[in-house]
Amino acid sequence: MKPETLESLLIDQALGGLSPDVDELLTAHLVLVPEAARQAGRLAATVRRAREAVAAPLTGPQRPLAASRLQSVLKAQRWRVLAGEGMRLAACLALGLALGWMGHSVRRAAPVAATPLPVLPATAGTDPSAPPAAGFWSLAKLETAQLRRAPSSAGAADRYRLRWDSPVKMPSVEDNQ
Amino acid sequence: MDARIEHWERLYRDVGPALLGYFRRQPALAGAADDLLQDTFERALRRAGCGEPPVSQRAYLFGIARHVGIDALRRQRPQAELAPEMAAPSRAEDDRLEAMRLAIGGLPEPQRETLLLKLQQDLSYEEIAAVLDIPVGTVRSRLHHAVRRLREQLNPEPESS
Repeated sequence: MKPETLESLLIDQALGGLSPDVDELLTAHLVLVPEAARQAGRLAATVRRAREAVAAPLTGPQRPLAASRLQSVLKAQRWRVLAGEGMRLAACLALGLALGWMGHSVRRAAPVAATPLPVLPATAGTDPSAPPAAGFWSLAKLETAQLRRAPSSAGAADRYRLRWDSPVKMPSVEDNQ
Repeated sequence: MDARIEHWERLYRDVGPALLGYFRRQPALAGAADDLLQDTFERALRRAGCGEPPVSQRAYLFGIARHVGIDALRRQRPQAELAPEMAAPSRAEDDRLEAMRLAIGGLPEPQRETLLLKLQQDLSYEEIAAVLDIPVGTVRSRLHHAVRRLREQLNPEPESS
């Protein structure tokens, strides 16, 4: 057995902190190892002396328990429990009132809420045939719109010309004729 | 009489003397030991039923008594320490006991408190753990350190191997 382990066991034994079976095993070990038995004796003497040193005799009798003070504590506890129950009841009542009031308000406001919103017509930007590059406005979209408006004759493409002078200006379609 | 009051009176008769001794052995608290004992039982009654059931009623009451004592010391002197209790000479006694008392008084506070609960109140390791609200392993470790230190101080001769 390691000396540290033995010492820990001996201290526990001297303090009465070992279980009975471990105590018995240790006692059997001490019979076989005299040096360990001497160490156990020294530790037990130290603990015994410490016990004597701190065991000061008590002076004076013990005063009887003031039962009236305990009664008042119990009474206060009962009141606290009652108050808690009352608070819970009041909270439930308040919650019920609040929910009822909210339900009533919703019922009164229901006709206003049911007014249908005006449906907006679909815009040109949602044309699925538009090219992917087409955004809010683009050259391609403008050109397509102009061509749709123009007569579908063979010379229509020559008659109208797209003019875009500057990227900061809107492009326009000119009539060549 | 209320059955609960009877229960607490029975506890008072059983554990009261040990708790009274616990307070009376601390010089800073000895004068008010009886009041502190009453306070302990009142506080215990107030807390009864709160939290998990205690390891033992004895350990539970010692734990409350410890807090009652700490609160009383705080009220008396903010800087109060328990150390002088062991150094205070009481009567003309054996020099070796006096030396032991001084050695115990010189232990670090956690070790001394744990050792006193063991030696004076004879609480088990588990009960001390419940009183101090620490693991049992810590109780064992503190006690081992304390006993080793006392033995080194009072028996400085090297051990023959």
